Amino acid sequence: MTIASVEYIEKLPHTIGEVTQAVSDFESKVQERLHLAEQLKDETEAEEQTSLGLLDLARGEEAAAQAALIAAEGHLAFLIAGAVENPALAFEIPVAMEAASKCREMLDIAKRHRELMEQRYQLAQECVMMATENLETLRLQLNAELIRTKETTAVQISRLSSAINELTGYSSESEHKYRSEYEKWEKYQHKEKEPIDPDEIRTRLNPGREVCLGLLAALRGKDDNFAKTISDYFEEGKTEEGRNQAILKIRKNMTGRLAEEVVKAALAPFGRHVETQKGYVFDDGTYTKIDLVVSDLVAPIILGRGQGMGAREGGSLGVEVKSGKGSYLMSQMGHLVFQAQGHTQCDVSCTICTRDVKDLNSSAEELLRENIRSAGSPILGMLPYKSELDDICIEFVFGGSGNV
Amino acid sequence: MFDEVCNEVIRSRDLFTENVKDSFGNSISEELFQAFLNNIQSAKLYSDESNFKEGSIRFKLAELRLML
Repeated sequence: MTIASVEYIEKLPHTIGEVTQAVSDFESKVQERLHLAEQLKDETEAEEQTSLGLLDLARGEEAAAQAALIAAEGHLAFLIAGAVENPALAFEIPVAMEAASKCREMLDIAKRHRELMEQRYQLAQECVMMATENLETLRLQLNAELIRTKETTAVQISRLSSAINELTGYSSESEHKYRSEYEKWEKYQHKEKEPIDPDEIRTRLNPGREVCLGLLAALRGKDDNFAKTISDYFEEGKTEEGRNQAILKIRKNMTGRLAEEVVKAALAPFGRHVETQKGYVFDDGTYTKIDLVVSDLVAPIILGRGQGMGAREGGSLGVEVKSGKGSYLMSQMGHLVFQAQGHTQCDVSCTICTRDVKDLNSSAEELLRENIRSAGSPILGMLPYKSELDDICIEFVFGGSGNV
Repeated sequence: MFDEVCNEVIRSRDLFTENVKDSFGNSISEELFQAFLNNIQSAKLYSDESNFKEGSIRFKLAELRLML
């Protein structure tokens, strides 16, 4: 078993597709290259035929010139022999000599041309031999490389396919494991007769990565809109640029949802009734929604030290949830104060936020805490850091590393 | 002629190694992509050698065509 750190499992089949395409393109290029060598061989063969035709013509011309010379020389011999008995024939001898000389000259020319055509034909034959040998050598060499490539890629693609199967299997196995961890965590029961104290609340609000992944998986299973959003982020993230955009959206929208769902599931076992987004109308007619109201508490609850930080068994707890970096939490102070006023219908209330509140400088943190405490809903910075929740959401959408 | 395929394989290798950063990725990179690139390089070399031979043949053809 090898360890494989794969960022996108779904990209691996693309790699197989790309390699298969590259092998096919390589094969096309090999064929294209061999075709060029074949074309040249065909050209040399055509040239060989042309040269042979020219040689045949030259041979014919030489034979004709040879015949003309024999005839001219025969005529001259006849005139010389005849001139002994018939002196008048002697007058024709110079013309006949001139004609024979001309024929000898023509024969020389025809002979030289025939020799040249023989040379041409020989060169053409050499070209055919060279082109044939070149084609055969190239065919052997390129086909050998192509066969090697096909063999190697077949073995390695099979390896990649196995890796994909195992990773996909691991991924479903992981999701099953996360959901089972989440279900165990969700079924938590508070110990009877004991008050719910800040340590227990803190522990519940920090369920760990696997539980959070399981929570998200369960949420996807029961909320179609959420499932569609996840699928959209995933699709968008298939390109480099799209992924960056999708991650921004996840950080902006999905992490807040995860924080709310963690708080809801973490605190649900502390009450017999849980309501989310409960509407509240202020005396002046303005309206707000409370993120979470846990009522009919199963035990007394203590949120921290000081007055107004606890409620009796059977009482109610109102909660506002905020996730974000310190500067964001600071910018939300007015909104949180307003929301806190809606919690007054509950016996006790709090604003649960990510641990980033502790990263604010001490005066800013004190200002934020004091303003919200005064409004009646003290801050509990007990959720994990925003960046930790971001990472879990990103891992849930795009997958993480696995064992192959 | 083979440069396009070479680029195609390099592009695919880079995307793969960006996605799989470990010994499995290194091994695939070496045994699949590098081996593939070596084969293409060899093919390119053979093709270049053949180009040279084909140049000589074409020169000879041009030469003999002048023999009239």
